[in-house]
Amino acid sequence: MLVLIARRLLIVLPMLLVMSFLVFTLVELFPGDACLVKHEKSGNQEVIDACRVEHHLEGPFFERYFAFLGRASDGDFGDAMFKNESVAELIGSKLPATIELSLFALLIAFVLGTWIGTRSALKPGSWFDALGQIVSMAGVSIPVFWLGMMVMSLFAGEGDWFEVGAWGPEKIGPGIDYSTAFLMTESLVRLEFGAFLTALKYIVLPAFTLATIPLATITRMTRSSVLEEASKDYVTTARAKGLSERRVIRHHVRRNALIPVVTITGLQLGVLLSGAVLTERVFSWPGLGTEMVEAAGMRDYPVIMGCMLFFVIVFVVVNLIVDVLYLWIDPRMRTAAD
Amino acid sequence: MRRIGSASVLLALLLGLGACGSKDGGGGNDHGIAIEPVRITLSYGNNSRPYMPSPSSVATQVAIALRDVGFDVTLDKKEWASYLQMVKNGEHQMALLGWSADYPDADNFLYVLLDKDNAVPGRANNISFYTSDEVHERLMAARNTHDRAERTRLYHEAQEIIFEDCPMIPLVYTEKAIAYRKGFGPLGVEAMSHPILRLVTEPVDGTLSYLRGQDSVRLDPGDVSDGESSKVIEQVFDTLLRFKPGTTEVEPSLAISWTSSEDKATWTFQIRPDVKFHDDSPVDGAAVVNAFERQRDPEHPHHFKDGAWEFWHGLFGFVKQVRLGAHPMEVVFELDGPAPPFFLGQLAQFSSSIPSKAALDKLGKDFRSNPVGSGPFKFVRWETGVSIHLARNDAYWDGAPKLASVVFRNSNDPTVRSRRLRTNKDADLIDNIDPETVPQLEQDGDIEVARMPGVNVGYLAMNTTKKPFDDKRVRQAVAYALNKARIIKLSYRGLAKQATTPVPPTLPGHNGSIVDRKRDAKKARELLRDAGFGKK
Repeated sequence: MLVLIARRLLIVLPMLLVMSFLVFTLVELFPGDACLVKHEKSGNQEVIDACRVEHHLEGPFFERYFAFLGRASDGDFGDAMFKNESVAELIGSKLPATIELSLFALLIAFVLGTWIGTRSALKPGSWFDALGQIVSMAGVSIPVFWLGMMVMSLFAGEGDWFEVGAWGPEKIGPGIDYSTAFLMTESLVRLEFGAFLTALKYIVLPAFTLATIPLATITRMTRSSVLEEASKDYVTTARAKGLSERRVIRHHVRRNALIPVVTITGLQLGVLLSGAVLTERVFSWPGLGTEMVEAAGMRDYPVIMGCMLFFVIVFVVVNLIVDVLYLWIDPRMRTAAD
Repeated sequence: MRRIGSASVLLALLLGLGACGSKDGGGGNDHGIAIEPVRITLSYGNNSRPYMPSPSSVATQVAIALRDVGFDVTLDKKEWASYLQMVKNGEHQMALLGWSADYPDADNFLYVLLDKDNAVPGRANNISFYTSDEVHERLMAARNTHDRAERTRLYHEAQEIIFEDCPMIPLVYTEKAIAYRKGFGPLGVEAMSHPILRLVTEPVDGTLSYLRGQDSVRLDPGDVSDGESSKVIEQVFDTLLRFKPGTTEVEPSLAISWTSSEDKATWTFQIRPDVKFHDDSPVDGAAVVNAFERQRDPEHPHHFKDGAWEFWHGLFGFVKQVRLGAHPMEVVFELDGPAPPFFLGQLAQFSSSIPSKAALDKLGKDFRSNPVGSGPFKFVRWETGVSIHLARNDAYWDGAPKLASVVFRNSNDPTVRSRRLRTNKDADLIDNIDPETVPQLEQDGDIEVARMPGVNVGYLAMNTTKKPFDDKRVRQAVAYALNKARIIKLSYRGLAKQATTPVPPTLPGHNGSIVDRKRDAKKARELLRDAGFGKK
């Protein structure tokens, strides 16, 4: 297994190189110029030139790319051009909100997906099965930006059901001195239930919207996996022993069936963290996605590069972890891997 | 087949009738002048600006009016950053843009938008690329005299030349509007700044929640260029001079008096005695010198290397040095030559705020998020992205404000801001109001709306270096084709005034005697025919 991890880690590096090159080229190809946006009213060439030099925008493409690589390898992604922060600080301050949103969405998708999937599999062809299929397919087909707007106008109009917009320590728990930016989690850990409830009001709508992306995958995986597992001999044996149907499903079928589902769910985390971009934008969620879209609009190159590469790393690492977990859960895979 | 045929004949008939029926006509023969379609592209950016909240709507109105006189208009909507690059490079034929004043003087509009110095591709603010020497001479002459009558004369002449040459068509001066909850006030719209919160007398000891579009970027007055930062800075800092509420005139603030040398190249300011910064350090000549020298001198310890210092570069390039005068409460500005006549106005805008030197020494770059000034409100804390908290400065030299505290919050959706004001959700005062929601707010019994023409102009620029706009007659034809009143009604919901010259009427130097071209389709066609676009 260690060999596998080492092998995978070795791939990460060239992958990051390739990705960084792709992203750098893409950003380069954008029309527009951050320094013109930043100094929109200034007709002063010195100001614009100084800005371009400061943010490493002057010089031949490859020279700048390798200089970027050099700085990046020292962990220096530069300073955001429109904020008084370094890119690293910016990612650090915006990431918690994105993580909480993604994990909460994943939780919703997992609970809902496995429930729908299991029930569908137990009665294939039933109305519930059909409905489950429709719901999950609708979830994956409807674009999140549209769904987000619909959900907002339905549940967060004039009424007080849910809150929409950027949460913040002020809004969630005035008076609480938060030490992290994981506002919901920290409220719960501190047993501040009022604040936790307010946080829920903020997070439920975007999380539900975001959850529709992995929901279909999880539902279908659960369904086919349970179907497959339920037709195996040991299940027949268990039934023959006279175990109750409930026990057969809960203790035997579901446990085994969930292994691939867990893997799939884990894989979705990478998709979610990056897929949150649209959802965050629609709900003005104060996370990394919103930040990245804003940065793209203003051509804040350091932030765009930093966020994109960060998402690449997250994706690679999450995949690696899932693979390792998979090996760990199912020993048969180990020999196959070696 | 037959049915389709007859249907299209019917359609053509209807269209024909419609054209004959309409007053200005689209048919082309009503005025006896047939025009070959003049192909042009109208470019505009996708984002809402104070001088043009809905550019798409304005572009559509312009295109409709132009098509009517024989132009074949293609609309080219561009994402903001790309758009900015395109117009500054001069790659457009015709473009929509605007300007908001940095200092209250006709120079800030005419020199920036129409002088040949600013028509350099790549960084042009003069995106008509208009290079009239007649205009340039007058603008330079006006810069070099402090004689009010003479300056007015020069600016009036420049505006007349510009009007005749028609390199751009000023469309509107937008009104600034704020809305606030009854029980707060008095609050008014300021020409050159944001609402002045020290003037709010009701409620006594209350907290005002100011809901605006976005969070501030940084709170270092010398190195800021965005409105959301200056909005806060204006409450925390004082300037040497300040604008009289509701006007563009200046009055003493931290400077109690000033004199200038004969040649207007040396200016001496007396600093108000016994004023303290919020950190208890004294406001003295050294602090004032520091405030300007740190912007001017790249080697100054408080001139942070990553700063842009944009306002200094843009406005104070003529300052040679700022130094202490004969005594510690006297400050001298030494200039390259005679001060431009708008020098004092520049000293009243926020980038000329005086920060505490002691705090800058102590905090360094962290000053940006922990500002210390001498203004009516003290900075308390800043939750990035969420809120900025200020508290009353009880020791304020001009009398402590009545409000106990001010909280700035943000929501980037104007309809959300209006809704939160109406439902009293952390919002007592909102700005940048969506024109659509103004009627709704004005009807609300608990809300007051204050309006005032802003010091800005939204305009249609024609690239005079590109065909067909290199011909003055074509540009004038465009002016005769437009219907500004309609644009104001449909695209600004009435929240704007019709513009005749690039200089807004709130500024001295505005030429009010120019009579705007009225919409006249016939005249437009004649001009196009004379320019060689008549049908052979």
